[in-house]
Amino acid sequence: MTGSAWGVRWRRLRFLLASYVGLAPFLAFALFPFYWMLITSLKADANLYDLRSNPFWFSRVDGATGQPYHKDIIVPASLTAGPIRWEIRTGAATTRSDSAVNPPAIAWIGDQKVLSPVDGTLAEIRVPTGQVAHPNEVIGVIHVPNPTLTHYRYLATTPFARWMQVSLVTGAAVVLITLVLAVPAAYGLARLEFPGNRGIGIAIFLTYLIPPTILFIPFSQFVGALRVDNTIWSLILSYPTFTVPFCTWLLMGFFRAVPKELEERALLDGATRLQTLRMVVIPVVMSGILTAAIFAFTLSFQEYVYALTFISSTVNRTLPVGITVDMVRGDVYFWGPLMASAVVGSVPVVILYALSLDWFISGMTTGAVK
Amino acid sequence: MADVTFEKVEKRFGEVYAVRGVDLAIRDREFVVLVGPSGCGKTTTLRMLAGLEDVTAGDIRIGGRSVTHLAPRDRDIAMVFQSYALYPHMTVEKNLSFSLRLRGVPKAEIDRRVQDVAKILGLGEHLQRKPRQLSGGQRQRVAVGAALCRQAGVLLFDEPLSNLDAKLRVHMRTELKRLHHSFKSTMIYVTHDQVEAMTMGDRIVLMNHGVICQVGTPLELYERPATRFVAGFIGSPPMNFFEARLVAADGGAAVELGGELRLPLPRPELAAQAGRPVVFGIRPEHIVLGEGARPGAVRVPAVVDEVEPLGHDAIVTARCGAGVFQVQSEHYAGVKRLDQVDAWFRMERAFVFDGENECAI
Ligand SMILES: Nc1ncnc2c1ncn2[C@@H]1O[C@H](COP(=O)(O)OP(=O)(O)O)[C@@H](O)[C@H]1O
Ligand SMILES: [Mg+2]
Repeated sequence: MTGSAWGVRWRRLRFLLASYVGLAPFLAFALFPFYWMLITSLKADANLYDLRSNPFWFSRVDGATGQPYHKDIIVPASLTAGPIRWEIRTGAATTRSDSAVNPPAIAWIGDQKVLSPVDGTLAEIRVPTGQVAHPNEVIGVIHVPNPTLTHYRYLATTPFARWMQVSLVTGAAVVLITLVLAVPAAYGLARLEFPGNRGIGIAIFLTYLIPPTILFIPFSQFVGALRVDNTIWSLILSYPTFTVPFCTWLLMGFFRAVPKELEERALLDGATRLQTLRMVVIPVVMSGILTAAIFAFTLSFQEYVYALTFISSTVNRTLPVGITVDMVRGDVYFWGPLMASAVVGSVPVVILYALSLDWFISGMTTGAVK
Repeated sequence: MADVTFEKVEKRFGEVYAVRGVDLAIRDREFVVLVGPSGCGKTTTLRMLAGLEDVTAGDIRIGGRSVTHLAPRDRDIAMVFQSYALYPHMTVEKNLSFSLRLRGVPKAEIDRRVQDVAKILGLGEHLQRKPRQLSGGQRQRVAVGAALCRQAGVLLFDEPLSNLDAKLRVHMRTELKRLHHSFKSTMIYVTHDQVEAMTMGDRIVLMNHGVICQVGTPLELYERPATRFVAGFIGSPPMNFFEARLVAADGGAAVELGGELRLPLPRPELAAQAGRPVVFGIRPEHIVLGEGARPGAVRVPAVVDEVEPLGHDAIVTARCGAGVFQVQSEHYAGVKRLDQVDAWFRMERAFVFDGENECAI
């Protein structure tokens, strides 16, 4: 008895193991970019640009010197020697030098500032207050913690929250407009028979294939004529030009998959066409509508060309434009803050997917026919 | 009153006629089965009655009122679809009550009817489930229940049992018949299965190529088929047919099969038509093997091709000079392939059809 029970359990376990082993390469492939994004956003710059460290994990010591990551506080060569004055104690936190318009001073020689080069904790003061410090002298050491939240703290000093808000509001408005236009259009094209039905369906799909890079110049004329340039409305009005065709096409497939008999039964049951649409067809294709909504949201959330060209004021920028304009300066990529923005920016999309997951799993018309 | 009348009803899809010249009168509360081979226009006929398909020509009336141009929901018709067509996002209870809620029936009345129907169909425990949580048989019951809840004047079934396994199908057949006795609806039932038609219908409407071949009770169709097609469609195993010629013999009439075999017919009036080409038909159950011979039966010597025992009787395929035929006989013990046997044709149960238009003579 127990022997066979064990046998059953073992076989089930083996099946599970085999499933996971099969799934593992795919998971690794799919999750690696996210993993990379996440560890990059948490690495201190010292670690990030240390080419001798293991890039797949955090390192605490410098690959070249073998010492813990730290920064010396050095009196700039341009300062003349003079009595030094400290205002902060060892153990206190310093902020990033690039996080504010005027980076905070860490010490003064006379009335001249010695700036903190990087954030971390003040570990050691070599030249106490009142003594004379000389140009190029190392007067203290700052410990660089790793992993660190510094890149995320940095975001708070930029208009990141505002960009996020612009992107979210634009996305929500675009989703709304898209669904209002695409759901009836897709239903009509999928179900009602009228001349030119097929042609229109294909034409709608073709409009989606025209790349935005061709359209943004004529569009900017429209946007200017409507006097919505430099406002969020320029995006809310132009994004549906690609989300509506795409979602219409997508939804047509879902509507076609609804068995005709369901609608016919509703008509016999006493429903009008609109009631049939509202009470039967739309609930049945809800997973399709959610898919369309997520696509519309993701497409507008990640759009770049229109957002870059139609909006020039910093506060009305969308997330992708704001990040790339602010965190890539010239040819210098601020990888830490860039990746931290990417992590925070993907949170709304992740939440959206997680909330609608149940709908996708439960399937659509299971149980309707046969 | 929900009597249904078709008057010269016609349906064309483009150039193709799906249904042609259908004249049919169905009485209130009758159980009529529409039967015929696949593609003969049964579903189209039913859908025209339901209003799901436009009528090309003719008129359909329910209870004396022309419904030809009415919307489906104004026709007092409920329908059970072949695919069940359950609303997948609604519980069984909501599926059953959907039409009642749309029609504004009071809540208490809806509950009462749903409970009634659920009880009759044994769905009581599943009312809060979704269709995907039900077995095929249960889904089928929900589909039937939803149509019954309506208490519509006319209830349509389009091959409702074809997706069930054989055993459940037989069970549901009896069940539906029973429901017909306790509900006050006229029922029109479409099937391609002649056994279903024979066992269920008060009357059978047999269609082929979009036209009605014959209308009658099951027994009428079995005993007095109007055409060779009806004779061949009703009955299992199907009737044996032979190309033949009428001849006069011994003061009576006979059929001559394959130029040599002469079988006397108990219908002397046909002697006058000697020479007419005909099709001779006899059912497998009206041929007797070996010693089971009866008065009036004619001996035909044959060689056995195949024996398929069914227990009580067997289906024996045999070959005579005029061709191959099947016999359904209880006397099959010891009969085996290539045996010489005597097949006794009971000529009083035989049929003769015209050689040209295949109508019964
Ligand atoms: N929508 C349609 N368009 C074109 N031809 C059709 C359509 N529906 C049915 N037909 C044709 O009409 C004939 C009758 O079909 P149907 O009524 O479904 O037959 P049955 O239900 O008896 O199997 C068939 O030849 C079929 O091909
Ligand atoms: Mg059919």
